[in-house]
Amino acid sequence: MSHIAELIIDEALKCGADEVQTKIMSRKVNQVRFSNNEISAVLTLNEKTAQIYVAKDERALVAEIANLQENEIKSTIKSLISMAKSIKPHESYSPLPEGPFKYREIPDSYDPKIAELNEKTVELVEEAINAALQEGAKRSAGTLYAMEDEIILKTSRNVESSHKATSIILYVRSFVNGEISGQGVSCGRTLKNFNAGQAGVEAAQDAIASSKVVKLSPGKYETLLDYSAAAVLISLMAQMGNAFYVDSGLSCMIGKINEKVASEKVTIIDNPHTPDGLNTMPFDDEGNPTKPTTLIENGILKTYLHNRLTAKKYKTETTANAGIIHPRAWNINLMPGEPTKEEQIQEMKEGIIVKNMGYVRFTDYAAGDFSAVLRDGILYVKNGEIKGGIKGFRLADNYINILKGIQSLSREPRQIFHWWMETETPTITPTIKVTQINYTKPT
Amino acid sequence: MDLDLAQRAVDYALNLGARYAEARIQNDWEHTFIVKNGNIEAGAITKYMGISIRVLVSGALGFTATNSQEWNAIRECIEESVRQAKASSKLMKKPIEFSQEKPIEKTCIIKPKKSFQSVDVSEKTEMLLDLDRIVRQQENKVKIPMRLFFLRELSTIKYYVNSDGTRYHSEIPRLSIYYYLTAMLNGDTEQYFQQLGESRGYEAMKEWKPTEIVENTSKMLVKVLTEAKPYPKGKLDFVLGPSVTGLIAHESCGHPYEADRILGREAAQAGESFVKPEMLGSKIGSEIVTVVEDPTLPNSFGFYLVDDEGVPARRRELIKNGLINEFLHNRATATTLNINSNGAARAEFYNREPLIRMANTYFEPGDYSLEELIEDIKIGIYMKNYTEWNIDDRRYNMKYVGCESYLIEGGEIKHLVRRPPLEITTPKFYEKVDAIGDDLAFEAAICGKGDPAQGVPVWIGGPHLRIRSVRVS
Repeated sequence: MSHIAELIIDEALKCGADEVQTKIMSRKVNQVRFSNNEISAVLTLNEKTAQIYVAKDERALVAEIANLQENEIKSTIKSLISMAKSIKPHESYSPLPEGPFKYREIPDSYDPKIAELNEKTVELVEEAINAALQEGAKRSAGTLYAMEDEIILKTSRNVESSHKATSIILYVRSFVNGEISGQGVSCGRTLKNFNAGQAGVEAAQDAIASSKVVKLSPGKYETLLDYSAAAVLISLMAQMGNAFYVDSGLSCMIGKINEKVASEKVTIIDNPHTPDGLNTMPFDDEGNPTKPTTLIENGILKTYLHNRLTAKKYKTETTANAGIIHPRAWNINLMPGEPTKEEQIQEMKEGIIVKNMGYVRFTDYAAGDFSAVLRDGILYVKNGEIKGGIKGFRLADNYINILKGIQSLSREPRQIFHWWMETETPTITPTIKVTQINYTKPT
Repeated sequence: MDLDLAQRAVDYALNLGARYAEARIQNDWEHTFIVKNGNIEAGAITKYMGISIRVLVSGALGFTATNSQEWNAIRECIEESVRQAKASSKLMKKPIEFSQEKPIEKTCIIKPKKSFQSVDVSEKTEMLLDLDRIVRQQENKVKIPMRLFFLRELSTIKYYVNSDGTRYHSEIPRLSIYYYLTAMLNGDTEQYFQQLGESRGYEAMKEWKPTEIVENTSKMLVKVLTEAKPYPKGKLDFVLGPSVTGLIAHESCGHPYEADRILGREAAQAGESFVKPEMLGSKIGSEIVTVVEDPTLPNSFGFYLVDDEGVPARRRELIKNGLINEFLHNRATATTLNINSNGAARAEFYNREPLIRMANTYFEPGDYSLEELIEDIKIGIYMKNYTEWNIDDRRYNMKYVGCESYLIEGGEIKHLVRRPPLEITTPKFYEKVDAIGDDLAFEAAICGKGDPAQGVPVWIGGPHLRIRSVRVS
């Protein structure tokens, strides 16, 4: 793949680019989809793609191509340079950083056992399904991914590096009594902490806990956000704290640097070196060595996530979160607290445990008003005891108000990355107790 | 990469023991231009090309994809897929089978009247900058500081072959504009987004008149922030504008009628459905309601003539005169329910398996004018468009929040109201429809589904319609 990177750099400079970056990505995927306790499909993917960034006269252009033949690469570069002649300069153009750089070794990024799993992925799925059945679930559905990635980065500014990584991600949703469900997740870079059976057990246990339905009127309730629900909430900081989205109006953190945006118990760090983190990466798309960035410290918003372009606009330094055009987060970490999850529940006089949520939609990103659909376990708690499941609730509240209302964080965080689109950034979070969250119900 | 390579892949899979095989070569090309807050953020080119092969082996389904054009690499992918499908077959209690469909040979090439390449890049970026300027011109004490515009030109070329003998080639261009505006006044904000999209060339741009659309949206946001009053509470009637009814048709009818959701295949992802197979033919709502799903609408954003399993597309009536009439099928779900596929299988790129997807979903128009819908309302809300929405994963519990919305009192529109919510169950919604407008309008969207996620272009549409007596709190 490095010969492709070299070809791209040489050709782009020959065509008149002022600077060039290329990222060649190789991905192999083994995926098993299952439903109704059976395998729905086994999917394999083997692809190499190239990202090509060129800058000319302060114009920024980027391509992503899946045809890496020489004539296609040359044709794409020609098109990019031609486009540069017809667009205006970027308002906060900034050149790529000049290398070379030293990059940190990130341990536990690559597990050859994951790369060699192949059809053994089916056995892992079988383990999860059987564990859920033994625990009392009637049927289970889900997905298992085993992935192997290799990235080569090269720029015309003397930057060259590569990184290999594996990932394993299992999501299980189990059902009892028709639509009552629970879910379990196990994921990481290596098989070290991976436990398919445990994911099945948790999915079944959550479903069973919800199966006795209790009636409850909508309104404001003290809430414990369990791991998956907490991850959905906290992973939103990948967007809310992203300078591109702030600039686009798609964030409620606009103009709030050095302001209180959360309870003082809340510290959120974007960390590209999180052990076993699914987005661990030694370099960003510009070639900067990556580093942890504290987004929120004791409730105060400290910075946005920046690349060179947004950093220039905001008159600050890059946080090594490039995205070649706009920044991106690595692994969002909410720092844990003291109590156990069980202690958090025991302290609840009357409240709700939300296991999972999705379909988060904002009425107003800038204000932070949103609603979300709840699933996979919404439990009613009275005097520290789970009394049963609740049906039909929708969470409707304000993002910053929820962050400000965080009263306790459990001591054991977990990595969550799953479910389609709701947790797009790997998030390492404890369970979160919030003073009150508002719920509505339909007519 | 062409039909012959696809055929070679199919033949090889059969030789390895697959009972059925299909190959799809897909070439997707896209140019995107982004203008943010009056500045050109980037120009981008995306080119995805590759081949995917699906096999049925011992009752199990395998899917593999690669962008390598070398036969050895493709061959290895097919071998791996067959091997893994065989391994998974031991967990199958019931084998996966595909419905018998008549093989076809078809070509569908849409030639743009004005190709994307014939329009200079500077004209396209100037058009976006012009839209930005028009938005700024509407500012007064209300500012619109955040303005995001995307122009997307897409072209999709497919070659499809299956072991039943179907051979299909299509070339479809698509043009789309997406914009997102944030208006602010004294710390208060209102946001609005919209997507225009059609399956044709750059000739669509002139007909869309995006400058008028964006100007009207900006004026609307200014008015909402300066004039809208609180909405009334209690039992209200609603008149819903086409962008709202289109979204409702998509979310509360199209999605729950996807047979893979009904049968549980999407349970861990997009979810299931409150609709069950035995509900076919039963009443879901008012007899004046018919919801159509039609990929063959000319120029529509979701247009196709043959689906990604080689089945011809046709108009489907999901709800007909208030009755659950038809589900959306692929060949596997059709077999389970003992019918033929109705051609609803679509995949976003070469590296995504085809899933049951919508194309263009809409309420069939009735015969009421907007004035007639409104004049019969004592107290209610005219929700012309929306700002927020969601629906649960069984597609039963839904919520829409109005952006441009008006109080109706005594049969007349009185004034703007701020963010009225319509939170209702799907069956209640369809029961309460009592009049349908005679207009029909569509908006474009990208509908997400699957794991890994994939988005397909769709239209969502409808006329104005009226629902009665909804509790608003």
